[in-house]
Amino acid sequence: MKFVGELERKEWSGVTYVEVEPQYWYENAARLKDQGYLFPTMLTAVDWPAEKKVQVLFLAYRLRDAQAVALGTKVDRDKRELPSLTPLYPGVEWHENETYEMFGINFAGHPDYDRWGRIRKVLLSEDPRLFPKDRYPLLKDSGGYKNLPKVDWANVEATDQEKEGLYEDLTYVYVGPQHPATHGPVGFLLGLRGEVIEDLIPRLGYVHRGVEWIFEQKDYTKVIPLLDRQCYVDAIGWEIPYVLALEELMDVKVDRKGQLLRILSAELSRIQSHLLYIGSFAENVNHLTAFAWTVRDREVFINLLEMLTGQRMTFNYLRPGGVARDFPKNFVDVYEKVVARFKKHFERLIETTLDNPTIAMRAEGVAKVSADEAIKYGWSGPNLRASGVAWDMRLNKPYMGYDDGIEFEGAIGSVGDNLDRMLVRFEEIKQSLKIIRQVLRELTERGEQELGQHLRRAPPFPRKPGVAYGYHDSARGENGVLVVANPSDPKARTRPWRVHLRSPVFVHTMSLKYLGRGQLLQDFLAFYISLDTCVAEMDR
Amino acid sequence: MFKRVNRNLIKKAKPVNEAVKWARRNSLWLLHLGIMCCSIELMQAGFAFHDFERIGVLARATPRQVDVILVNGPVNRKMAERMRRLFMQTPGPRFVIVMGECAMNGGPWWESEYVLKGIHELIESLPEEYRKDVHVVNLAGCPPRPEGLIRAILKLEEKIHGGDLAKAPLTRYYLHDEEGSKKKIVDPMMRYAYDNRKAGEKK
Repeated sequence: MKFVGELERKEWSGVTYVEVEPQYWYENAARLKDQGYLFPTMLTAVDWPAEKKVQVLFLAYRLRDAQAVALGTKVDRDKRELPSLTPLYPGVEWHENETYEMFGINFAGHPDYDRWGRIRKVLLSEDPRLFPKDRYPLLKDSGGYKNLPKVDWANVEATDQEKEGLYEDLTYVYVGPQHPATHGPVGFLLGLRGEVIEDLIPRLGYVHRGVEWIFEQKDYTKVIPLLDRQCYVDAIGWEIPYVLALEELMDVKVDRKGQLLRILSAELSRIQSHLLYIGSFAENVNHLTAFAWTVRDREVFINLLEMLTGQRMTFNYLRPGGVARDFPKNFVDVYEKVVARFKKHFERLIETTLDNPTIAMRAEGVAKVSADEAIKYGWSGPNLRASGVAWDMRLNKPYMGYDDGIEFEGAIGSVGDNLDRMLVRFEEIKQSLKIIRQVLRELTERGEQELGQHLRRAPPFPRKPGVAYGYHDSARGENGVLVVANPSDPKARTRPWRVHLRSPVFVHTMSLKYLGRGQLLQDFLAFYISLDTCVAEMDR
Repeated sequence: MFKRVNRNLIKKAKPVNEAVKWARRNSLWLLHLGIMCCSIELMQAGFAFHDFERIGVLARATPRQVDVILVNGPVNRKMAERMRRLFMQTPGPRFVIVMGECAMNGGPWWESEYVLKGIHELIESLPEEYRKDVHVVNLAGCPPRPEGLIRAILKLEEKIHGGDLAKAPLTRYYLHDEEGSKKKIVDPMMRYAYDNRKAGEKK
């Protein structure tokens, strides 16, 4: 593949990284799209103050043969400007929003300019009393999230009201951040005409903590427990991509038993997350029984995970080179007993949810998202598969030993409505049980063998500079972690230079900006819940 | 000679107070607000196995109908004003359960000043007449287990009763982990796996 103004070409994490000159940024992205790289995975930046440059990275996939290309460029630190890629890839819009507020890179032609005359901050507060206007916290010399102005909460009001860019002929309704249906503090501003949503502004950032900056202050291994708290429902889903990226930087291999234990924990975690999804969707359309049942059955998988990892929700289980604890001895017995019971419950759950007109009427044919739209906006995971795209990273781009003799099928839907999104999760639970069965069989056959390399000594941090991208098809979509190591800098010798979390929930929620339009008010919340939300991961 | 009558002879309507206390502590309604991880444990505490409805706790979506505000996650600067508004909208007396490290002192996000160093910053900023009837119970953990949340609710009830809850009239509670309690600890997992009696599946 040829690019204009190519400066450098590298390979990391199965990604071809091509660095180009900034003036050819847009043109090269257009070439990338012509080559069939239609799926915009992420766009982010890395600050290099020593070179006086900010590096911008854009990662795109070609789904038909699972190829990945990362386009990179380095812009001047004093003049941070690039053309926006939104005309080519509508799905990078929110990534550009985020890159703007974190690095201050102006993306000329960003859709926000048309409406607001500036790029909006999505995660951080736009109110200068709460966060200084000109501070871009991920620039190394900006001061980050330290030394913020003191706030007198008694005299601060209306910090998050929308004042500009609203259409006068619409009725605006605030939904959230404290709302029982949003499942966490996230807000939407809905512009209604009658019952139909004609304008939608997602309002995020109510749980923004600045974790990417916090990670830069911590040692490599001390990041792992914080990653659990990104998505507390499927916590293993965030540990895996980070540890995989770290292992690549450290050049550490994991043996088969370590891989099996990782797969086991990932699949157990996926099941309980999907159960919660089914329950909360059912609850949102007034079928509370299903919610009570799924919470009951979910507790079982939480307990199994506690047995395996020692923690209920925030596991802190993975380590570079292996896992933290050995396989418990009586795990298989307990699992067999518990899952025999769970399967009966699960059949009842399928009966009561799918044969229930309450659910059917709110799910069938509501909020159809076509495959093209899903790819265009960068959806991933079960939501993408529900739209009929056969893209499961466990199968298409195998990692962590998923391709090593484990047989399972990915679930895909046909229409891409709420019902498909739910059915895909039902099927994935069945497939996960199948995977766990194979993993447990293999673990039992291996017997009392030594555990992974974690008992031997893995290097505590990478010795060489480098970039790695770890990914995991978690319960919510593609969880991706970009880790940049730069040990030559004295401050970053034991700390990551940059960690970027590519959150699927952030992508799904922000894409509602366009996909939510034209829906009925009552269907919108069902649609939003059907995307499987997790606010902490969305806001980071 | 005159003798001044002793006004203190008249006793206050204590039975009514007791009844109010009793009613209040047996129907603590929570604000339905989930911020982060702890909200998942709140949910687990609300349904099967733990089931806080049996001690009269109910989650309501509007702050105007609740007694307890459960702060179950980090409160950042954008959320703070909203959170303060929720405190103001709750009718007094305001009971607050500060669940988890984030709400207590910033928790694992302590390096970032964007997250408040605990919900007390907001409580201190409330007007005097609001602040004086705020009653706080702290619950440590990251996140605390559902049993911990139920314990915190019982602690709050104890606080409302003004002493030992086990001696409270009409209501007695047993905690599984209470010292000296002879009640057997029931492992929900084992109950799930073995207790088939109701389904008639006994071997």
